[in-house]
Amino acid sequence: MLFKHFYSLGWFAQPEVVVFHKGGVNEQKKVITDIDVLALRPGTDLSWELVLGDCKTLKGQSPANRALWLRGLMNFFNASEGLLVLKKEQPMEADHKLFASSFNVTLLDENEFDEYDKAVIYPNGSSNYPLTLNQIQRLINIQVRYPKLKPLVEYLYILSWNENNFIDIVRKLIGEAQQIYQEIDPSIKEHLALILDTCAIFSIGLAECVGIIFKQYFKPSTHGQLDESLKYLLWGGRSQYDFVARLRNELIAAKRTPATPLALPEWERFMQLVRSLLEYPALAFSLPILFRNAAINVLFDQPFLGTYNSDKDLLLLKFGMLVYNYFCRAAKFPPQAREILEGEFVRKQSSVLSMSRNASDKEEGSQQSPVITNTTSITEEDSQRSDHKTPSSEHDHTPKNNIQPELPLEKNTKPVSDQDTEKPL
Amino acid sequence: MAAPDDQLTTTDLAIRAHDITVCLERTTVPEFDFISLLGMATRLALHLRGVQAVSYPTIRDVAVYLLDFPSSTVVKPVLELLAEAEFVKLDTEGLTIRTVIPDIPFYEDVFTSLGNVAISQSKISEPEFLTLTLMKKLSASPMLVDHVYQTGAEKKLVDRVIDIGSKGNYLINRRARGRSVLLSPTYFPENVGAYSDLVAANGAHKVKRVLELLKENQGWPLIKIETERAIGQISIDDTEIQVAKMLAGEGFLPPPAIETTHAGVNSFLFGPRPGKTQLPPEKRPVYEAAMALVASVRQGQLLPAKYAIRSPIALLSAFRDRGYIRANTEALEQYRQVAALRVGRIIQVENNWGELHLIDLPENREAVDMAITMVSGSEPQVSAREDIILSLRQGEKYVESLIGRKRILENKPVEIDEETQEAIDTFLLRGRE
Repeated sequence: MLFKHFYSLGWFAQPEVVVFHKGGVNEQKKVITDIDVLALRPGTDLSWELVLGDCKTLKGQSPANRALWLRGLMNFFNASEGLLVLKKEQPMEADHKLFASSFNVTLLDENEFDEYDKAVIYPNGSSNYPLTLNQIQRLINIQVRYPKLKPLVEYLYILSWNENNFIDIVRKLIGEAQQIYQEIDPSIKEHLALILDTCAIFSIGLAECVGIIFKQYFKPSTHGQLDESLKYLLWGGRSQYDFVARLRNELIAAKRTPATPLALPEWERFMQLVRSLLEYPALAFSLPILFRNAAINVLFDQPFLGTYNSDKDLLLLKFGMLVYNYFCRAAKFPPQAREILEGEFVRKQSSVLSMSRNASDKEEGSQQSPVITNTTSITEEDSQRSDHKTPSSEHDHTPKNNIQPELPLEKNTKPVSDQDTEKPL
Repeated sequence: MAAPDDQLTTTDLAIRAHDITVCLERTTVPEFDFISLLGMATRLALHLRGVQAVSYPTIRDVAVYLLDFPSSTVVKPVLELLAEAEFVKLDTEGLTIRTVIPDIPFYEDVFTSLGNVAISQSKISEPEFLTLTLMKKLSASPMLVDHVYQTGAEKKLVDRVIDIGSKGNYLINRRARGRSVLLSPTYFPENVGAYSDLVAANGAHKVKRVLELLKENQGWPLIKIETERAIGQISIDDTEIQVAKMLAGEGFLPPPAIETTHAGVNSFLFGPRPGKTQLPPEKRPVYEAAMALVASVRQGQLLPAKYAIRSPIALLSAFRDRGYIRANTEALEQYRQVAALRVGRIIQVENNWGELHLIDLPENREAVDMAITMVSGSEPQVSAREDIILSLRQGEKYVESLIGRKRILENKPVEIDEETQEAIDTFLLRGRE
């Protein structure tokens, strides 16, 4: 229920997020705990805000203790809010709720959740939201059928959520994808769905990156400015970048090969992508949900991005297409994998545009009727005078607000021909 | 053999083709297949930057009504060229284009990439090559027609190219001091007579050198040029000093001047003002304001009363970002013209100390950005019409509205014929029929 609730609010939600300590000493990562749902919502300052959601049964623990547990996790993830739904046999004390609320944890009884849900997502709540946990689980379980894809799946659904910051995902996910690109088969829909969901996670890091660049430079006016700022951001600062670049150069020099500057694969394309997103940076934060929806659509043979039908979605769809294009190239996926879904994005934008034009024409058509009526009445009045219009003339009337493009005025073109040549001075 | 900087790069091809196309407007030139296609493609690309998917009919209407494409039949080949350069994705149904999804590079790559693709697809004819080469030379300075004949091209071809350019409004062939001087109003939109005279008197090479030095050192004070015999750090000879003096003299628009009690009246020289392909007419007041700002900081940098400005760029950047320049005793005189143009206001803090505060309007911020570009020696970029880009981003209804507005403006009243005008004048003179 929390999963659907968060998605209905327009937040990107990941279920069953495993928590482990990144600086752990064990060879195998030790699971500390897990979060039922981790949600990302766009903040007002072009960055992500985390919200943790958990459903728990209480066994020998008070609701307040449970809230404190969640608060600890919120600190660990730097989350701004927590939502805890407790399955409890006895009603919850109001003081426990107030106590939890004082550190941004909303404490709810399982029985209260439905009302809460309908009050927040007025009036019907989130129960009918089409995305389900089973669908996400099917995405995660792709690795069962295709075990060679496990490294990528593991990073997507476990490791990426434990990164120190989201920007690291941009670099690392490309690296993970490059590890398994030879296993990708564009004819298998599960593979295409996985690529789309990979783009969803990639977009989380990308959006954060775009937000920071925008706040630093607004829209960098030169290639060099964007180039430098992106590199330092992606590698964690100038000194870190310089260190890694030097290390890399020395490794390459050992092979007696000239080194190119340290950058992501398809760097110019990445810069163009970021620069495009800087035109409307807030929209970058809608990309993860777009890609997740697309992944589910492909996996379950649903219409591609069927819920994106407004002309207001056109720019988001374009951004999605650009991100997908970039990621496929950077990860070296087979070209067909890129072409198949890029074609879907193109067709989707075209159909949205077409629907928008049809809707607009219909609206103008319905608005025309009163004008035609007026013309008719004028015509009737005119018929009493000697210079009245004939009834057919009403069909010649072109409403002022309906500009009908004519063929270009050929008579305005002035060919300059040899016959026009005058003698030189 | 042409000097290296006279050789056309693929970037030059696209920029010059664009400039010629803008000047030609709806005029078609049979010899200009390559120039027309590349020029229109560049122009359309610049207007599609950052735009979301657009239907083909809208693109066609924008191209024909707002970008002066000569006819709708050229729109498809232009879009195919852009698709070949991977600047747009096309959704097609058979041979029909339904939707155009732009992905135009944001930095200079657009010219190089388009130039490369156009070269790979089409051949440049001899008249086109000569035209493009000529435009490149004329972007730096006017030149004598005699020098064009000396490039090795056939006289008949040169005459034809000049004639096309004259009719196409991107070349002017002007007589001065008994010699024919060629200029491009695209790059020298003002003072055509004065520039012709300057070149005829001093030679194109000298004029070109001075103009190039002024472009790299915009707003350099004339007094400094005369006394130090240099523009920036580069020495110039007597003829070049003469050229600089003539640029501040009769026939040219008076350069910005600042009067101070310690240095008197000083003129600050600038390179030629950008033409319409780099600066739309509505941006001219912004450019004037930028020139006033540059002149002010050059005054402080090179002719201070006491303490010189060390970094004009840092000062202007602080002005834009912080909103004011810290108080100093010279502000009242130094920034008077800036205040007169309402870019900033001078606030007197104590005695003779004044602080220049930016009047925070979009056009003033733009003027400061332009001033920073000028002081850093960068050339203004080829520009696109912002109203078209904004309309495309907002959607098709806004584009239709813009097209409609243009059509209304184009419906000029029919001009009175000469005979009727004479009859009216005669009647008024006589006072009776």
